[in-house]
Amino acid sequence: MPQRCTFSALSPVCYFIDLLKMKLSVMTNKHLRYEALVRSYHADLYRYACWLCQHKAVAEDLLQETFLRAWKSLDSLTDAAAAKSWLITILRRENARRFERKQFDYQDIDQDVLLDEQNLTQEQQAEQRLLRQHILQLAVDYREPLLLQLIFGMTGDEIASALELNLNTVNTRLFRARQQLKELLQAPTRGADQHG
Amino acid sequence: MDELEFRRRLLADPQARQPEMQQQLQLEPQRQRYQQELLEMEQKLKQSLQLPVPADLADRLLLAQGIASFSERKQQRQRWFSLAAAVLVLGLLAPALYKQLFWSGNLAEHALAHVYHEAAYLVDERTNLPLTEVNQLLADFNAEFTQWPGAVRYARYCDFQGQRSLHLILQTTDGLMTVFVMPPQHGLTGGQQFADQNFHGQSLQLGQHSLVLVTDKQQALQPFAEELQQHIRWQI
Repeated sequence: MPQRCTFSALSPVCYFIDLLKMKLSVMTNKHLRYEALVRSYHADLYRYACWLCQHKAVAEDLLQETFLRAWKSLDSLTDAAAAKSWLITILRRENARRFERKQFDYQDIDQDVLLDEQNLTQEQQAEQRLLRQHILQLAVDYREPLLLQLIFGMTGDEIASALELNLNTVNTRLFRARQQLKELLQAPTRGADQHG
Repeated sequence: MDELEFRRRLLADPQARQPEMQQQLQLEPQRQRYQQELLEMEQKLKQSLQLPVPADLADRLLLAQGIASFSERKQQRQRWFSLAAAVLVLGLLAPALYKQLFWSGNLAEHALAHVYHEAAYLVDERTNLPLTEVNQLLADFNAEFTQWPGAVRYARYCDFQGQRSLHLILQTTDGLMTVFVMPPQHGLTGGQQFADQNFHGQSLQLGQHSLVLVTDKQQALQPFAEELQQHIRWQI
């Protein structure tokens, strides 16, 4: 606690200074919490946003808006364990708002934009590219629960509450998503001979 | 749990985190092989989803917040500043505005308004102020009555459009005569003669001083002005 002045005539001034210091420490506290939040979750959220809206620049914008909104309502986040689903909810809401705002169809954007060269063999790269295309081919309704499960490691219940669906629906969608992926992988597609 | 249901549930969650699914797995090695197959695909899927995240993304996000909250604070400050400035300007302009709106700046109008406003209740027929008392008040204007034939019904300092003036009501043979003795620099404009339906007035310039006379009979003005000049003495 800040040191108090003993001189009584100054006590209103001291009180004011204490208030300021408290306000400042609350502010720095908030900044620290916010920074921890950004550093812990930005990577997964970014990936989730990329797979959701299929464009890196859009995903980054979405993340900016999500975190700005999170900053504004950071005081409402009291449970650290809820932070992840809280952020996901904000991001999904911002994403929906993006569609209200402008009716651009990002589905048309070249999906290769998502691809990145990594330390993989040619074969692995081809396989990964194919898998990514397949993931993007999934309808958003099927893709989204899968992303939540694979990127964030969420359980069926967590996904259900994040997407405001009941557990059965979530399980059905997860099952169908994987089933479709399996089928796509098994189908004789261009450059996918080895998956036959 | 039949095979179809089992596969359904395993496809929904290949890790089979639910205890009953673990049980089901223990029952048949074939099911474990199926899970293994799915987990391999799961691994590939996870790898595919692992897009590289720009290294400076976190810093950019933090910066955006910093800028946003800074400009928010700045806007708040600006709002307070403009409010304070508005109050200040209003405070400074208020007296001038008040003068502009409520003071006509016209001597005649104000004199008449003053008489209308006060005539009704100022005059008490029984009052007859001693001349010494009147002269004490007049001393502020460097003037005094040497003598005065009639009664002085009323004598008091009055605010005459922001100017401290002496308000006199004198009894004459033609009725009551209101006299405003004005300080030298009263800065007001006004005609020599003015009138409305009930009252007639005249402003007199005696040296540096202005006198404003108001009465209900026009013919009383001129003789009164002359009489006043005889009985009032200006110092310097």
